[in-house]
Amino acid sequence: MLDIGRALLLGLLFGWSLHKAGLTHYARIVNVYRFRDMTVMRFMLTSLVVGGIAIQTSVDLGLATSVPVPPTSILVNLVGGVVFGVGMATAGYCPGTIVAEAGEGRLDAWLAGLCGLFVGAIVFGLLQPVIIPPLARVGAIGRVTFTGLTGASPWLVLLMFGQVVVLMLLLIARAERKKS
Amino acid sequence: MRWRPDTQWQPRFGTSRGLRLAIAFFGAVLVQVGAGIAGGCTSGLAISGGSVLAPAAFLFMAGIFAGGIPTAWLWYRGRAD
Repeated sequence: MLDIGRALLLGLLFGWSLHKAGLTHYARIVNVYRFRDMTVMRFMLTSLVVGGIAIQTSVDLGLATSVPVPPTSILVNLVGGVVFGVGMATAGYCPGTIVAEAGEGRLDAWLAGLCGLFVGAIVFGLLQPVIIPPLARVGAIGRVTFTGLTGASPWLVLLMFGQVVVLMLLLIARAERKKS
Repeated sequence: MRWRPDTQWQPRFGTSRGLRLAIAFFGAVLVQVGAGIAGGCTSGLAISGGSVLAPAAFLFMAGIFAGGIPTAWLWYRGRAD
């Protein structure tokens, strides 16, 4: 029960922040790929660094015992990303925003979005045995992180990553100022 | 629940609800299949994986842009809006 409660609370906060950041609009999502609205990039870059600091702090304080790391498999991640990007730029959806838009009471998210996710899951289930094994033959290196790969202190890697992100955010801010 | 048209969708694709549903459904299927292949979505792989600095997240983000930029260009080519 505790896990369900936590998931509900975190989901509530996530949906609320997606809504407040305005990421539940077709134009917001599609215009990232047209370099006209970088809100999604700003949201993601900020959450990466804040999340990274929060997770590492929790680990250091002993609040988090195990941190889930997604498996890296170069072709699998890349090809999946390309298919995902085509869908995202077509519908103006990502799976999380479909659910948030459904929560806002948008009819197209219920009728097309949620149904599409359901059908897509079945399609992927059918395709999985055909697609994944050949893709996974190249560059499947398992559940690794840059910290683990370099052997450096996680805080050092986070500091470097944070600097790159701040630089990117400043460049985005400058580009958006120029445009307006 | 109700229908809320998007200000950018209508000038490009018109007011047809059927067309919006068809394209949105097609995109949602692709998004889900892509997330299935890659092992996660924007939040599940890119944000949570990126927060623990997993290379998978950054490869996925590179893939998203590699797929999304040409797709958006195709939908909007030759248009000023």
